[in-house]
Amino acid sequence: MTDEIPEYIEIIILRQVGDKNACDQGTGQAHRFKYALQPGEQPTALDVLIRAREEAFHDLAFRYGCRNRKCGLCTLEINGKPRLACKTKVRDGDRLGPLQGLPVIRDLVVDRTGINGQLAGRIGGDHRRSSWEPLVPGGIFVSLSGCIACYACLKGCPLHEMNLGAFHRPRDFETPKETVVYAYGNPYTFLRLRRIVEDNERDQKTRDQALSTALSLGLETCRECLGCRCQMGIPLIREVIEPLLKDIEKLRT
Amino acid sequence: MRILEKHYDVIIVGGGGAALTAAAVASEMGVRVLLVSKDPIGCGDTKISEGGITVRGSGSVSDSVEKFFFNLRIRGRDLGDPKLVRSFSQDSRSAYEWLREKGLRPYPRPDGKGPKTYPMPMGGHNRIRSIPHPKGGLSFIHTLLGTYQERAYDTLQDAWFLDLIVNQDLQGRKVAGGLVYHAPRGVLVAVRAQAVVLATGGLGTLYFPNTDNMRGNTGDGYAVAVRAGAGLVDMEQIQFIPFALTRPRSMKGVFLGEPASAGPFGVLRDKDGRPLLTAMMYRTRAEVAGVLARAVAAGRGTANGGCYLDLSENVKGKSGRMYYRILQAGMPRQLDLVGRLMGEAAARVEVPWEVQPSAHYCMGGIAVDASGKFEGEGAAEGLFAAGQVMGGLHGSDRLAGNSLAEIIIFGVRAGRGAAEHASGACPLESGRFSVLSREAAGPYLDALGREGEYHPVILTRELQEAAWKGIGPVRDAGGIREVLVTTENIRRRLSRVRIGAGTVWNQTFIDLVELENLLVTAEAVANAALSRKESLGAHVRIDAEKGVGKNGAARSVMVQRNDIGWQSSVLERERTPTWMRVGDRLQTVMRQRGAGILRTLPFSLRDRVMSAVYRKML
Repeated sequence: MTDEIPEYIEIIILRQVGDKNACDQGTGQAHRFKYALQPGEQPTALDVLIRAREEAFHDLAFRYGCRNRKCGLCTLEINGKPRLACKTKVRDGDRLGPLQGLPVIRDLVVDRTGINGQLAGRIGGDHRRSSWEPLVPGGIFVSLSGCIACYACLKGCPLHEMNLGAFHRPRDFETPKETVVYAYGNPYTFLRLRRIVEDNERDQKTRDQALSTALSLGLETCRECLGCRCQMGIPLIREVIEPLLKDIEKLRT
Repeated sequence: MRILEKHYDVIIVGGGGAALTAAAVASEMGVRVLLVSKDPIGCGDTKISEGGITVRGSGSVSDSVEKFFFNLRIRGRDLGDPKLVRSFSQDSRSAYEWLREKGLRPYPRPDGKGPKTYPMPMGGHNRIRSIPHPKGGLSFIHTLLGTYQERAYDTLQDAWFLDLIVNQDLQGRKVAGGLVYHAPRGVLVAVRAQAVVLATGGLGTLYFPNTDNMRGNTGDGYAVAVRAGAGLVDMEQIQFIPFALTRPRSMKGVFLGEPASAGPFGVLRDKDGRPLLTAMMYRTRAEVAGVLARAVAAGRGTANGGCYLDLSENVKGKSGRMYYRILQAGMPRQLDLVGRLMGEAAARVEVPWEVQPSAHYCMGGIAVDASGKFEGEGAAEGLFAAGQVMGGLHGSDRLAGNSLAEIIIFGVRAGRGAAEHASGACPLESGRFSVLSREAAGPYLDALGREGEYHPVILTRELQEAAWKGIGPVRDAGGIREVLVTTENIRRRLSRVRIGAGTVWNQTFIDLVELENLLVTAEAVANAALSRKESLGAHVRIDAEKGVGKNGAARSVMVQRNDIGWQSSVLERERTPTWMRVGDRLQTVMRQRGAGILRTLPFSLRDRVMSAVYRKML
């Protein structure tokens, strides 16, 4: 008989337990999970979470979608750094927690509606294309289209942090239309606006509207920071923030 | 749990491409729209798709509505409802124009006069008709999120649409609204509305982990429709993509390639390297997936339940380098994935890839008319469906790029249809609605805090395993019945599952809701599959090999659940004239033979022939 000692790694999962009213910004309780390794296996954080739910914490809440770094749903923090769970390998002792900077609903699930609804009602008007404008392969518009909306760029964004502690209700039918859910912008929102400005099939009015929206969301404070980082490798500073700042100058003159 | 009441004109259920399209169109028509999505908006299969959309005439001037129509019907073995197929063929161009107006950007052709297409007809098309987009499905989602920002209609996200609320009066059955669990607030919301559009996607998660779908595809729309008395068509027709990852665990089932990516010389091999299939690029997804799955079932598969896709013959010689460039342009993400998981030599396709079939798309669904309005027995006025959840369009084969066309074509039709219906209909009186919604909420409220020794997540895994075995790519009558035994067994245990008592994001409650939807969906698929006794379309019946498709074409199976249980019936469809079907078959056979002859040519000659072919494509 051979002595096969099962090999484990222990992962710490930060959980919010108890029935609270949603949206506390907490660090949660540390729950330990032992993940049994197959020979040579290097599991991802998502491997661990799926198994943890099957074997230990049947009510563990976390988001995931495509398991293939395309959908942006499984963003969390690994040892305090924003990461995609499906992409990131974990090691013994790693800590998995919710993405800081958005209200935690439960365990690793954060409320995303304040971000995906931030531009709702702020970009509008008539912007039918007037003519066929060639799209440049490898151009900025194409690069920005690669954003998967994982929101990892929100972590550590000082402008977005100014929203915290302010208004934390989910953006839904009880949010009055005129309310600005988050008054300040973030790299994702600015990327969405930049994509409109970069779209040479849009009319000037819409592109100007996107610029003034960026301005009203506090873009100018970005001049002092220029620290955004993208998990998917989009050069946010070079392709989003700096060109927006430059265009705002033009808009003024 | 509290029950809130709200009133809108139209509820759109879902958050992917079809839902966002329907919501935009309905909202433009001036009705009050509420979009209910369990995942954040935009996060459906459209987002993770390859981004190639079918547009009639985009690649050849000789294309026409008629030619497209017959291509679709013949490839779908005449199961597709002619009026849906016709609408699809007709709207194909205008739907793309709609997307362009909303901001979708393709690459231009060298002459600058139109969008650049894929260089060859994709999966099952008889003409070049697919337009790729930068960053795949993300291009579509950026565009459709733009329509949400513009229209700013109300949404409930992280919200599970539990059931339709239907009122029966002297004039018949009418949709009165729906019941929703809004997880972040921990409340039930009873939404009164004159029309509901189900755009909830498919059922891939029934086969987890053997699927390339988003996790949210738990068959919610099918189950909601069945519980409201609706019939589903073609539910046995589930498309399995042949080439998906077998490992690591969290990525099993992830999409790798189409039959077309096998190139002219790709060979499918068993675990010992013995060839199973050649000329794959001229075969359907079903054919290739079927051969692969049967080899695995016969014990010729790898430990991970796969076989080997050997593309090495394609990259030999001068033409081989050109082939690789085409591959790089067509599937850069997949090559990158293979490189990371199977090594650099595999990414250069010099060594075989380990692959398995994976649940990709459900052709069946809610039977609708050309305006996306539910029709058939058990019809409730005001119910609409769009996208993957609708049925009767694709028949037995969903051709490449047609899904992205479908979400727009029928998203627009259903959004418009629902808005028109809602404008002309009276909302149910609120007192009566309160009574009905409280009735609907009863079973859900009862489940909260239930005590027991079972866990929904474990029972779900049990169901998924049984589904892959019994109603997966390879089936026989015994195996299909086994699935129905499993669903019965699981149902019996539902009274003893442990459900949390909390209201805010109650994960076990959510799991239970999705498990119940998966159970209904599995039963619909199994019952339809029992009625379809021959191998036809998307899967293989190993107990009926001889009658391959003989009697099955032009006959759709409709399944429906009533007080007695599941009932199935047959819908006779119009048959495409024989000479057209024979013509199509001949074309396919000629292509497969052509690939066979190419393989026997002396290498230098073959290299020259292929170089000429690839040069045209590049």
